[in-house]
Amino acid sequence: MTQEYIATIGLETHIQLNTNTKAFCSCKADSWGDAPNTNICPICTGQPGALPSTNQAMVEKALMLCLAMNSDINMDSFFDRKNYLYADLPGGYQVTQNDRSIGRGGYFDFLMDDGREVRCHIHNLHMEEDAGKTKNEGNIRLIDMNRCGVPLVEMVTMPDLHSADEAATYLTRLRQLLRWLGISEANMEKAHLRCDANVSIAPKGSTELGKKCEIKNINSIEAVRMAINYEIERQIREINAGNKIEQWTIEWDNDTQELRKMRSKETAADYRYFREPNLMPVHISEEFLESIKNKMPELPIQRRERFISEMGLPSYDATVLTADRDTSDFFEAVCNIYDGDNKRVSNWMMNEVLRITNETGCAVSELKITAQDLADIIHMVDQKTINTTTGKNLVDMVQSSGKRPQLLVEEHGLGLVSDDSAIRAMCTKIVSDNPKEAASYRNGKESLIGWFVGQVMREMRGKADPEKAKAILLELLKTD
Amino acid sequence: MTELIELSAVEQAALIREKKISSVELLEATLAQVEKVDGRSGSLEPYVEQPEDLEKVHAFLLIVRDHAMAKAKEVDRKIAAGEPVGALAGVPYSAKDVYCTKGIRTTAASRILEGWKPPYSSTVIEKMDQADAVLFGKVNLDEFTFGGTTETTAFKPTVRNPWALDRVPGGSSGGSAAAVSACEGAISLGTDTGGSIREPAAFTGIVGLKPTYGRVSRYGVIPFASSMDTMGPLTRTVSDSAFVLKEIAGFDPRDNTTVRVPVDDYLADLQKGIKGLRIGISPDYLKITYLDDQGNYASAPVDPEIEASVWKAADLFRDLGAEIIEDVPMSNTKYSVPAYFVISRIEAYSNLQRFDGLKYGHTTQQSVKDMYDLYYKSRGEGFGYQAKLRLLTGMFASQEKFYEKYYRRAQRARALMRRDFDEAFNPQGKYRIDAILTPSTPSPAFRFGDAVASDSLLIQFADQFTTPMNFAGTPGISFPCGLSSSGLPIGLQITGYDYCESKILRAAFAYEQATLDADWRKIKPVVLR
Amino acid sequence: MESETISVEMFNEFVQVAELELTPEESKSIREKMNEQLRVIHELESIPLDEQLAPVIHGNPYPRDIQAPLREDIWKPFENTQGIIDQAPRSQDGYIVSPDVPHQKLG
Repeated sequence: MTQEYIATIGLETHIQLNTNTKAFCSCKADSWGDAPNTNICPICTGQPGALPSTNQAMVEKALMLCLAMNSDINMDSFFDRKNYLYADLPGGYQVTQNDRSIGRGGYFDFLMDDGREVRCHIHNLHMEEDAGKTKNEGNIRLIDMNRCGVPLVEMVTMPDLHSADEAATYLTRLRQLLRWLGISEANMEKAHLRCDANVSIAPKGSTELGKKCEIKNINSIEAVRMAINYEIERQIREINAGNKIEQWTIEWDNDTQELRKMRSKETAADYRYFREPNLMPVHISEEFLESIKNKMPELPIQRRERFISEMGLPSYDATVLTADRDTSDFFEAVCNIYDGDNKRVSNWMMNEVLRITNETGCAVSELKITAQDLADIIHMVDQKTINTTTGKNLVDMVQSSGKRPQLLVEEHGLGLVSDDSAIRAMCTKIVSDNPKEAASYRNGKESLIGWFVGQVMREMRGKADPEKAKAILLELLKTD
Repeated sequence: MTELIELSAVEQAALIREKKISSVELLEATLAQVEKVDGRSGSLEPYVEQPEDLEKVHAFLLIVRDHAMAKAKEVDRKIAAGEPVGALAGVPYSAKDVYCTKGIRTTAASRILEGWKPPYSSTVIEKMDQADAVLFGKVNLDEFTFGGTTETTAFKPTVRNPWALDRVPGGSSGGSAAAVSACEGAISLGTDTGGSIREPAAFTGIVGLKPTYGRVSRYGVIPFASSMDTMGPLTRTVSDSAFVLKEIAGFDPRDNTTVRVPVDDYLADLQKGIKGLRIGISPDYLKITYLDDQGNYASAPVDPEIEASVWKAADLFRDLGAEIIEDVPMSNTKYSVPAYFVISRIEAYSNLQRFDGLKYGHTTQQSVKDMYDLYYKSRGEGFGYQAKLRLLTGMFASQEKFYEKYYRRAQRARALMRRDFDEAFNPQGKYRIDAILTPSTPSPAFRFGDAVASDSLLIQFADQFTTPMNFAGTPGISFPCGLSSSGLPIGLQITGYDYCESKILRAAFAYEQATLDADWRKIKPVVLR
Repeated sequence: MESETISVEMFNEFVQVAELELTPEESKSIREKMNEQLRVIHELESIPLDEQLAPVIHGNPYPRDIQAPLREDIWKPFENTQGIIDQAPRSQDGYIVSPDVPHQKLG
């Protein structure tokens, strides 16, 4: 009888903020692709005598995340030194926040793909500086300090997650939120979003948590899923073999997709934290807090809920249309202009606009087609100025030409012909040109009406009002 | 006839501005003096004492003749062309070798920074350059400023006291003090974390100013204890001290601990005099307080000549129109000793963690197993004994398990002893003082080796009257008041409240001006005779 | 009292974590000095402190109006990056070179 185990997972995510400059110096925050050791200065390379200076934008963005996580804000928080030696940490210590960080507590509500809601509590949010990069080359390490000092927010969850899937979904929703707030690119492959996972197992029904192992250096959401699953399996194997789980620090090797135990020095727990004497405490005034609160957008989960409850969208649509802020902003703008059936707008958004962004890789914010354009197109179809097929083509034409839909309709003569006499004339011609089909229809093959309408539409280059054509054809085919 | 090199910086600057001498001329005279009295520079070579060493000052680690000459020529060119020049134009100065000087070797007197040429200059050096002063050399110090005698430098021979060559110049700014005392430049930049400007100034008969913490930028100065380090000038006159402070003080956005407080015109303020200035004397600063073997507080008197000079100075200040307020209590000062010790060691240890043999300075030539082995051997070879001791002590005291018991407690003790200053200087308080008069040191300069070997409390607690100001962040100035019966300089200290350097400079200036004709001022240091 | 003496084992552990190779003479001497200095550290305990007294980072009070403001988020490249790398004892293609960091593969 095999023992069933429950996994418990806590995540420490490091979020690289998209500020212009580093946390404590005026070098660029983003140096992706730069030659090594070119985005550096005395401060971020730990030169003797250099001193740090706190970036205002880092504090603002950290505060926004605290508000989004429903955390308590410490109006006075402090920077501390975390002392340890490593090649990618030029100062010999990392400037971080230890016991009095900017955000305390809070929670993140998110939906699994199957709609189940999960609430993950947050232990704390704190600001800190990033370390540099090292890469292996044979038996040496090459050190690049371009990334030293980049501002990070570290968010530590409570051990509220219980599967690799929950952890992966947490990260996916978090990534969406970070981009939504505009505080991070949150691209895991570029290490804007990094995740360490604390994993432990305990027998089902047990009230105590097992010893946890920390997995570091996981660089994609899929790798998080894989690494956690491997670790859970490893721990179960160990327990079943009669071994005890020791508190290890484990590195995920992204190249070989394996877990590796790190040398015990890195697991030395005593970082000897003390207050960073070179920096003033971070003080947040009531006015500053208010101004940031006013800048906060409606969060994705709130907007999704509003799209469902107030705007009448089904949950599938609401989820797709709130995947990112630009898409949902665009959609809402169209709805406001169109001022009609939101579901209709949603269909056009998903089928046409998002089709284009998916196919071309163009971002919603870069589209040539505007919200006004889409509202106008839908309106024209409603009014039968053009038919649906034309409308769909028009979306592509606006996107590729950048011209307004009305102009394109005129230029290409796309307008529907509603004039009865012109349609009647064509219908008459089609019926007389196709006596065999006409006879078949009269003999009972009523489905041929679709074929007749198609012929009329083809001859009239799609510009006929198909319903009108159908009515006239029915009339013509009845007689005789 | 006063030699050029004996003139004050104020006088030198005036002569240059008035085109009575050129910068190049003044620089040549200064370098000639170095040549005459300094002897060989300290180096990392294994030290073998030569007889000549005993006769020389050895203040300098490095003379940058070409760099200085280029600057001096530039100053002369500008003056000849009628272009504006800075206040210190053409005045040669040296800097303690913890001031980063771009492209010019900087060592912190340690082997671990062997060969390092900083890629940038400290703010203070940049300001001196903007004032058109002429940097001509870097001077020796205790390794990483850890010490009070300059004996812990890795660069031997170390500095000797120009007044008595068998005695220490004090430390850690021993090179700065000795250089200025021996007329090797009228100005030297030093640093003060526990008395390292004021104590050597007292030992060598010159003026040493420790400004308020945050008054002068620390950016680009190799740190000891970041919450207490201050940058300041050593000079022969109080006017020079004011002169330099005006150029180097001020808010620096690169140093988050500097303050947006206007910089006074310290030089002009000297003329305000001290009439009505309330100068306090505290019994807690007239004795050494220490814990005896039973763990009880005990006290020992300071050198009687030194105490006598305090009272004599008090009389003089009274004659000049100041009010003397005796018995100002500063009773929490004794508690600052263990607290200062803990915090300074913790901060020092952390500041030494960037020296790893990878990025700059010394790296081991031995074969190494891995990165950690490189650290282990490079740091082992590079750091001196005192640096290792402080590093390990700091590691001990900063352990997480001791966080509340040592670090936090020391931070509370800091607030407690700061209260002494807040209460004494409170304008609505009982004492309402503007300044406190204390000895600079409990005794005059001692002999080489005494700091380590001697049992004397006066030597062990040589910094007891100076560290409280570093701990509280307040300013202090040490100025000469005479010679001991054995011919060694004695210094007095005036300490003040935050950002009140003007007041303490005025008091020191008043004393200096009133004693200009004193006999003791006619006696020169041994190397100048 | 656990903090009464620094044992040889404890001392050696500090030396390892500090990555600080000592000669046997230095080891002995420094450990002895540290134990002497424990007396000074223990003086902390006898300081009469009321619990209302908040710990301070600096001696000076730093009223808000004179404190340095937060730094504006404007990029200012450092003009001498080469000067920084030139000082590294060992560099290669712009990187600083370090010996490898040991690892141990997990099953």
